[in-house]
Formats: sequence, C-alpha cells, structure tokens
Amino acid sequence: MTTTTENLWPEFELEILTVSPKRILLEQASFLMQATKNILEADVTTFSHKGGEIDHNFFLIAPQLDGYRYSLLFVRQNGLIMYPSTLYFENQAFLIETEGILLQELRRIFSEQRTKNIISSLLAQSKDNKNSVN
Amino acid sequence: MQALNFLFWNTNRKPLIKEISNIAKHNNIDVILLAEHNLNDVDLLLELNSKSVDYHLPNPIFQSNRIKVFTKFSSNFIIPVADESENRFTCFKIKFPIIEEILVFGVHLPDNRNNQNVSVGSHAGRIARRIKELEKEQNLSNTIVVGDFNMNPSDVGMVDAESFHAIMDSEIVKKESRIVSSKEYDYFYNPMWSLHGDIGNNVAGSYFYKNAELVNYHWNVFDQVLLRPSLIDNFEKDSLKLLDSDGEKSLLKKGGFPNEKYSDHLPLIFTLNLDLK
Repeated sequence: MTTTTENLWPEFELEILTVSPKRILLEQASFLMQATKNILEADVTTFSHKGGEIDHNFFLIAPQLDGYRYSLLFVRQNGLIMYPSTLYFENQAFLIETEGILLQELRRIFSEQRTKNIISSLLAQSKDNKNSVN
Repeated sequence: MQALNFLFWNTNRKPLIKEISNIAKHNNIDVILLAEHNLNDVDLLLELNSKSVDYHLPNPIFQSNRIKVFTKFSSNFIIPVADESENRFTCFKIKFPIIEEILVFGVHLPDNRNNQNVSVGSHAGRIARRIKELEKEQNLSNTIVVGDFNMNPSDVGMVDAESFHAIMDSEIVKKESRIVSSKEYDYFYNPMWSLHGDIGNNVAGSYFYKNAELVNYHWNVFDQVLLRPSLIDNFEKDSLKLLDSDGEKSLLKKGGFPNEKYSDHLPLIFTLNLDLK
C-alpha cells in the first residue's frame, strides 16, 4: 500500500513484562485443579462495570455437586490499568500495587484456614456424592 | 487431524476402577463412557489422575446416571446437550476451537432377558427419532452413538429404517440416505458387524450368553458404535476393538469367555481422526 503520511506511532515494547491479574488468577485456577486431581475445578470470570472498573472473579467449582460455584475472591481493576488494583476476600479489601504483591496476597489467602476449610468441605462432599446407575 | 480415542464399557455394577484406569492408560483414551457403573466418580477420577492429572468429569455432570462420562477435556469443550433417562441416553457435544464439532450419544437399551426383542427394538426406534430431532436442533450431523444396545448388529431394531437404520457397508452409507415409500431415511454406519465372529478377531463378540433355547447366538455384539456418513472418513477402522485385556491382565476366563469377576461385557475402543477447521 502506498502511504501518504509518515508513521506517527512510537515504538512499542512487544515483550510483555507485566503479568495481568487475570492471567495470574487463571494460572492459580489451573494449579488448584491439578492439586485436587480435577475433583474441583476453578474458573475466572470477568465483569466490566459501567463506571469502568473490571472485576476478575475467582470461583471454586464442584462438578460433583451439580456444578456448585463458590466465589472465593475477586480482583478489581480501575479500567484498563492493571496495577494498582484491589483484591477482595471475605469482605476485606487489599491494595495491590504490583503483580508481586498480588502473588504474595494470594499465597496468604490460599493458606488461610478459612480457604482450606472451604476446599476440604467441597472435596468431602464431592466424594460423598456417589452416583451409580439404578 | 486430531485423534480422539473412545472407550465404552458396561461394567456390570462392578467397581472396576483399576481396570478402567488401566485401559485408559494403555490405550490413551480421551473419552470414557460407562454403563451399569457402580463406583464413586471421585475414586475413579483419583485413579485416572494418579500419575498425571488428565481427566475431568463434565460440568455439570449428567444427572440420569445411566451413562457415566469422563474425558480429557475441561468443561469448556464438553457441552451437555440432553440427558434423557426415560429415553435411555446421554448426549453431549465435543466442541474444540480448531476441530469439527461432534455429537456423542451414550445409550443403554433395556436388557433382552426382561424384554422381548421386539420391545428393545421399539425402544431403539424411539431413541433414533430423538437422535434425529437433536441433530436438527443442534444443526449437526457429525454424530456417533455408542453403548450397550442389547441387540446384535443384525437385529431388526438396529437395521430398521424407522430405527437406527445401521448398515455394515460404509460405501452405501456414504450415500447418506435412501427413500422408502416416499420417505427419506438417513443411514448410520455400523462397523460392529465385522466383530461378530472369530475370524480375524480376538473374541467372537462382546457378550456371551448360552442357554437351552433352540436359537442361541452364544456370542453377541451388544456393545456397538454407530457413525453418521459425515464421520466415516474420520473413523479409523483398524482401531475398532473389543478388548480381552485391560493391558495388564486378561478380562477372559478359561474357555475365552468374559470373566464375570470383571464384567460380563467386554470393553469397546475406537478412534476418530477429526478434521481441523
């Protein structure tokens, strides 16, 4: 194509250095499924608010319990800016300034007794839900 | 091409967790369908995923429990379509971004010890009509039907155009349909005719039953897979097998008959090589 104007765009950094909150949550969802041998599944759903905020909800899913979904936590971005963002867990909000802090907070939340209890409960009930042909 | 390996097994209410897992491992099975299962889903999932975490239950799981399904694909790719206990089938779509969608029906027809053969045939007609309706609703004709039909490939309920209309010649089936008395009937291809008898086969059928009746087939091929014409070229004919072993031990007893310690039915495996979009 013949151009009539010069290229006004600056050079872009194509190597993506920052990992998005959603990518981090999706990877953690995959790790949880591996750890529970797929008895539990996990998923991240994204919802955009009219005000511009974007929520990434982290759900625990128990297929054996008719696909029961438990919203464990969510990360709210202010529009397209990934960091800082806010992490919500158990009605508490935590400021997330960097991806490193998000990883640190997720590690803490995943190790909390409350989280372990929820996962244990879902695993136990999934195992009890025996399905056999009549 | 993407190869998909299927296993169907009527496990006769036996807790065959180890055996199912062995078959899955030795045959690299992608989709497992079980009939007459009496096992804890989670126990089987743990065994299937003991070495590497590959298998999933559909989400939501099918409620009727007539056919149990495990696959190597997450719930994004296994879409439940219908789960009709009264019609004795479970239906789901396998839907990947890069390969053609297929519609899978897992069926288990009434047993022919408690039902006359003509009654089983009537059930077959009812299921075949629902299959046609669901194909139309889903706008899909890449259909396979697999399960325990409790009929042999040559039984009227399998061959009748008002029923499965399942024929042994893939070239005829590729013509897609035929007209009888002004009505058009779609074909299924039934490759199982080739597995009834002992020439070239490790066993002469999938289910053995002998009694003192004058007419007795001894070996039956109740466990079958049917394919619509559009999937015939994707079907790897040499892959179709009735297994006499789980890969580690024989499923047969002395005399070469199914060992009821495991199941009175033998497992069926086959491969579809699906086209990339």
